[in-house]
Amino acid sequence: MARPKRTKPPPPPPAPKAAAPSLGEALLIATVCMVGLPVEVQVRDGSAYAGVFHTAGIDGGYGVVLKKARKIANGKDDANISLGDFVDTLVVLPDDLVQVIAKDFSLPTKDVCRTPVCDSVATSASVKTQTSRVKDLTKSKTENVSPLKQVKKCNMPGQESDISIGKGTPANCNYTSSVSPTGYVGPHFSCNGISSSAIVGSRDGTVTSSVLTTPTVASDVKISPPVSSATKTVMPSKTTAKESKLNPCARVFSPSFVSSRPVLAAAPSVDPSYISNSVTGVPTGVPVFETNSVPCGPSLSSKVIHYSNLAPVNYAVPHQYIQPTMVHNVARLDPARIGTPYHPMHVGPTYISPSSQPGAGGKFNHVVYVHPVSQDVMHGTPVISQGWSHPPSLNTYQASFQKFQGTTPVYVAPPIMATGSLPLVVPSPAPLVPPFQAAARPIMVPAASSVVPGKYM
Amino acid sequence: MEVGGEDFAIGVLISVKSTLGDEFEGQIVSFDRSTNILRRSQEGVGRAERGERRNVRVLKANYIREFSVVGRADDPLDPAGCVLDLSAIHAREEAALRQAEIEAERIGVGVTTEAQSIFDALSKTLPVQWDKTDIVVMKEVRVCHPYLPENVSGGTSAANERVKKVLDFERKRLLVRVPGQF
Repeated sequence: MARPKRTKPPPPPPAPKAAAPSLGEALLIATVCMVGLPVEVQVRDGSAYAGVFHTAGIDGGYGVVLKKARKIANGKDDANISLGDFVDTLVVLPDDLVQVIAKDFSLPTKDVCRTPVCDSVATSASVKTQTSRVKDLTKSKTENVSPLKQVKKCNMPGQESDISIGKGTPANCNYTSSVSPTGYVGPHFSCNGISSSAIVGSRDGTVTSSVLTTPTVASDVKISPPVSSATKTVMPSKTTAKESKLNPCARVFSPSFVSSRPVLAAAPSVDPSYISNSVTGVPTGVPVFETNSVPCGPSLSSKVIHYSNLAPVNYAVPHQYIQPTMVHNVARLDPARIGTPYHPMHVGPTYISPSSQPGAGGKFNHVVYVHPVSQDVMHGTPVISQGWSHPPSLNTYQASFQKFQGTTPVYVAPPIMATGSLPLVVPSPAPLVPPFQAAARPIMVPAASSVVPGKYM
Repeated sequence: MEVGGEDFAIGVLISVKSTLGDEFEGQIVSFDRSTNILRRSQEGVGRAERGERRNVRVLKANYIREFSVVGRADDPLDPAGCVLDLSAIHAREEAALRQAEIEAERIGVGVTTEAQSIFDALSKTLPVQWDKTDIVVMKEVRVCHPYLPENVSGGTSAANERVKKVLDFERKRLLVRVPGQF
């Protein structure tokens, strides 16, 4: 008589190695409280930028991301962005960040943070879950204090939000993401096709030029190397339609993250927001964008940034991106949008391949970040080599991206890869669009060797 | 200036000089040794109350040239007592982004300072928007370069006249405010 086989339960997946706490609770709380506030950021070369605080990287240093940033002070080094120019998304790497100034900031207290708008936050369970992760990631302390407390349990079905401290930066930064009012977490990029972005940062500790912003054509693209992708996936965000004041047919892009499953990758994931002009061909992951089509017609514009020396690297698509997404009805160029501070471009429908092979039939366009580097340290070492670790339980910071298609040159960016085992396949550009690699245009990257001792404010 | 082995005590009031030439005083809210980030609340030191709005600086300690201890106060931030309304924070961010975009749309691209000044002046009383380098008022009247009353075209006669009058008035006011600029 045969014995019934006892099937042992499959061994649980190896728990992600908890990263060492890298940010104090107080700083973490302050960082979260600064989200949405207009801040001023000063960088190493003395340049100053003003924008809306979007998120921050807390691992491997303290870096910040600003939305709708504008340069308010020139630094010592020549920058590709002139004074007063706007950048849709500005990523300041930890090595280059000097200080962040938030005005009219209220420290979070019991009396300050609670708002009458929504006493019930649909984050109870997930918050508690994340709280434990936050505690694991913060410095170990004897006291059992949770930096993030739920205000009130919210009975909002179908909604959940995570306080995800995402990691997705080239320098092993963990970025916090705020929770949307709808309960979804993730960086929101509500704009009329705005996809311009820039990185102010340095590689290997050298800061050079600041940011490069280009008008319509995306030619040269350099992408920062993939970063660790062992982060929690950001919840898909509810797309909110927003009509431009000037263009009612304008579309609003906001990232939608396909799943909340944690992404564990052997290799560091790529931060979609970091694209270094000194790094050859390191792709960054980007969230899937969904657009709300407007009945009057599509009119999406976004800014494309020139990149150069894009070279394929190995990366893996994070799970949250493995889902096809169609962007519809975004093919008509709105001439009225050309020349706006955010340098719009029209975007066409694209399809993101669900396969883990990036670029397999998928076309991506996403916000590209130019990573200023010193001319002296121009080499092909990926930014990832800087060693940005990734806390396994943190979400990857995922920048917005736009999908472009049309007669105008289209920048097609590779998707974010969660693992480094898959080859990077840059999706083929639109037929009428020259590959951005071909239209390489060198990015001016002046060297930044010292700090400007001038006051900017 | 490296912080070295010293820890910034929470609540200490310090006066800081940064390597970039900034000088400010404030109270230490937090100090993260791993990232060497010093967070300070500025102004209202010693008189700040909970909930009072103040300027906060997140400064890297690497860029502190020198500092001096001014005094000491209680910890302005109580991590155990902090409550964060994430939905409100996100809503605030969205509102700020919309406002920033609206403000960005007000700025013309490739226009002169004079044109921008005229646009800003017109926007106070009339709904205006940029159409490349032309100012479009009430979506029907167009003001072209050099933005003189005779450059006003389009729209109904009433609207056209109104725009001309407002434009003329604003140009005169700008001329008085900044003589010689135009």
